[in-house]
Amino acid sequence: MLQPVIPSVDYGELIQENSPEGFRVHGSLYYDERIFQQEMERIFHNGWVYVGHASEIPNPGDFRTRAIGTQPVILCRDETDEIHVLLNRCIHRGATVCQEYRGNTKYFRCAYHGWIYHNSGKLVEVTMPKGFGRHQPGKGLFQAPRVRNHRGFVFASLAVEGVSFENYLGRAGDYLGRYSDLAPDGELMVSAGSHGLRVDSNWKMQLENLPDAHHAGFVHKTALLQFFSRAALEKTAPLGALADPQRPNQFQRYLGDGHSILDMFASNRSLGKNLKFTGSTGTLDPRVIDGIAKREGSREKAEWLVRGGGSHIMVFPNLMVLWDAIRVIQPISVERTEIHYYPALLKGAPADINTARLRSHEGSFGPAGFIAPDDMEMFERNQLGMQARGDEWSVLNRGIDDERMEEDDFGQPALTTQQQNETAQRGIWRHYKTIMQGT
Amino acid sequence: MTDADLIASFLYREARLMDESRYDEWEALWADDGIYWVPCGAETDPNRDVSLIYADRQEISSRVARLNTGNAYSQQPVSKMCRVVSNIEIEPQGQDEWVTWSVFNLTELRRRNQKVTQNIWAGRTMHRLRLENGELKIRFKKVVLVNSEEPIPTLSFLI
Repeated sequence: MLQPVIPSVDYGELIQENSPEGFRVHGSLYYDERIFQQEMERIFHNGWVYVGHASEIPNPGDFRTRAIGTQPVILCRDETDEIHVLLNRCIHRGATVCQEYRGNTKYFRCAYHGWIYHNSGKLVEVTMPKGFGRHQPGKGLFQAPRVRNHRGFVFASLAVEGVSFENYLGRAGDYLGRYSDLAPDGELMVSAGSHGLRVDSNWKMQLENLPDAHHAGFVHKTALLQFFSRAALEKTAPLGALADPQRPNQFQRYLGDGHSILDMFASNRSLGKNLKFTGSTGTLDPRVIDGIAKREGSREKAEWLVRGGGSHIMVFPNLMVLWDAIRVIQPISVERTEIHYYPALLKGAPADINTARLRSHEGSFGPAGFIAPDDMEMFERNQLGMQARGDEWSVLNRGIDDERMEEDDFGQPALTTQQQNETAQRGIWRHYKTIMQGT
Repeated sequence: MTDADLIASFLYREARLMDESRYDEWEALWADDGIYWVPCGAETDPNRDVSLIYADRQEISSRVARLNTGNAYSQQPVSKMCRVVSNIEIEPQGQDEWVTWSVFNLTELRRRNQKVTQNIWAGRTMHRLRLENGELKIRFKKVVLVNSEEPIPTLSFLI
């Protein structure tokens, strides 16, 4: 007999750490509309989320329109160089004041009744001001009360109070820094635009997929074949790490606070001069190594950095940084998500290397890449299968008896297991449960 | 057959090969120095701006090989497609070479279990064609999709 769908949202019931079949999460987490709305409130609208990279808005007046959860915002830089995250909503009657994806402007004008806001969000002109009587209009567009910039990655919280930025970012900051350190100037340039996938699945499918190394040999077999054949043609080593997640010195680590990584630093270094692929195109080029060496004042440090390679990190809830791009999860509805890719170029690297990063990214990710579309396909098949009743649980037991606290590449403790396990996914769900239960 | 007829026939045949996912026959239309570009936006610089596809002849070959495995899951099952190619404009470039502009409108159907989705894709395509040994070959193809700057479904079929 089929059991009824669990009627009330009790996250302790839906996320079970010690069920008879082990660690499991209920399918309704992926298709229940109430849960989606609660996630938007508790995770996206009251927590910290990634909004954009400072290098996307290098000049005063530059802006990008984005969303925090389902709320429209404007990421912009004012004339004093301060970065704001403004609600894209006129304080008068609520129309959006900016319609473009990107641009540069001194003022945002609401077309409805002509109100004008400075790019700092400040209200500078109200039409027919005498009509307001006792109640004069407010000061300006609502803006995220807390905005922080970590190595160019701009995060915001729409809530005045809550988890501090430091406690939110936790260990993830080190990895965002490491990724940026591979640019000669120590900074990324997110200046090549973006593209995006629209997928008919819940946003958490991508969240759980990023620290998943296990699927690569199956889902991405055809991509790996092509990369191997090209590598054979060009006589470079194949992808190594990605092709063989069971290699002994490749790890999946849960960093706490919802963040997780695939750690290939030791694996990459063990290849020594045979390392050809670090996941961050161009960083093994002598010109890049020279640039990093100059910045660090040490060739040894530069070699150590590049031979460890780039980060492969999932920053809860919506930011991923790996290979050649920054990737952002944008929830649209309980069963629709947008995944946006922002190629991350290396400041201080020669132009041809940054062009190579674009080519490498395009061949792998984005709607026409060799890798990403097949993940989207899995997410959609997963979303469809989750509608089933009778068998309603997603079971996450891989590595449950094989995880331990170990030092990561920064010498800090992280819950660690072999790369093809599900320690990270369990960590993410525990963190999620803590937020959703409000504990 | 006039040049215009020759080119129109070629474009209609290319469209049919793409509709029917006849990957090898489509690949055979490409010149050895072919470049295939699907930008994000109409006027971008492929060296500085990201594209959906910017493929040299080798990558075109890799794309076809990947699709031929039958294990490119985003095309499993293969989409059913029908596209109209129209509004053809031709600019002769000298001996045996032409630039052609055309517009397409494609209905692409994908079924997964009970879920059937029909996507509309539309765009303006520029081909640079050259006559080689009596056959037209594609030297350059640029496809500007109407939705090239939007989040879009997977684009693993031929466009």
